[in-house]
Amino acid sequence: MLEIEKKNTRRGLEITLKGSLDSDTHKQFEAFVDREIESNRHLVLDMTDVDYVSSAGFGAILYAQKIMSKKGDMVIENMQPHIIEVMKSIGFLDVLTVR
Amino acid sequence: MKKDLLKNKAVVAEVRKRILSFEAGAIVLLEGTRNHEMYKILRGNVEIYVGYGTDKETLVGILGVQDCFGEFGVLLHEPSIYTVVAFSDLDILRINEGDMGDFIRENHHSIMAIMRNMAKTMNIMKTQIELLVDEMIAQKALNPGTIEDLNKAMHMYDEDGAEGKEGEEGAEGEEEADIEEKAEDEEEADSEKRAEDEEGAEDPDGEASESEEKDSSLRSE
Repeated sequence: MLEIEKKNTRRGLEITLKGSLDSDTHKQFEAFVDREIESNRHLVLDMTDVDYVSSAGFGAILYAQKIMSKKGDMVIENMQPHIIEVMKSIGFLDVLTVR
Repeated sequence: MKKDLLKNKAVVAEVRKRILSFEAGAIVLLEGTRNHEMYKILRGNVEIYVGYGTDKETLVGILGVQDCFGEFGVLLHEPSIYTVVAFSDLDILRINEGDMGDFIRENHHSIMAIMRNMAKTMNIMKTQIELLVDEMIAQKALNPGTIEDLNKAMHMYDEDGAEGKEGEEGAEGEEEADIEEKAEDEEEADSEKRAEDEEGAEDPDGEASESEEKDSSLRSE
């Protein structure tokens, strides 16, 4: 299950995710991104309360990154350490900005 | 001097022929196609997919500068096991089997990078399998026996593989001990039964036991 909240701040569009980003929820996230980021150049993804990301979930994050790369930037914040380790091992840290 | 310069120019021209460029989003290598070439990334990043363009499309990982892909084609002559898509504008160096000898001689320091890259690709695949198994466990799509087999296979060569193996051997040893104990119990029960049967055969009416009782009662008197 995935909960998505958004707010517009000085930093741009901040999206807070809670739950799992997996094969059941990645389309929900992608659809949200398609709807909401059209007019935003900066995207901040808060992953504090995301406890699991699957291959499909990483694909969705990359999807958002590719869109934002063309028009601005995307930053991922507060990713859980065990998820960062997975991202490191599959090469994601080369193309994502993670804080 | 002029000779060296001409030779260098020729080498540069030759290398330039082997550099391919792709725009972001372009398919560089398609899963299932035979391609007897390996590629080294000179600029940019690529995405590695299995099942690209299908319902089962799975992003496996990202490779970057100095990483190589396509080893299966050039080393094993097998079709590509993944699709490679340019994440960004991309320059890659094409290395075919005929070039490998020269490539190794001229870039011996790259061989470690190639081997490291192959190990990295294997690690990426291993990570993805673990993620897939986790997801299938969560969806209860695997039975416990399969999960156990998969975990054993994936962690066979881990650093704590020795402990893992000892643990396995310990568990196996316990199982064997249980089986042995059970076999011994069954054998004992069988031999008792055989003894009873033999006794019954010799003295079907129980006269021998009566006689023993009489003897003991006479002795007591």
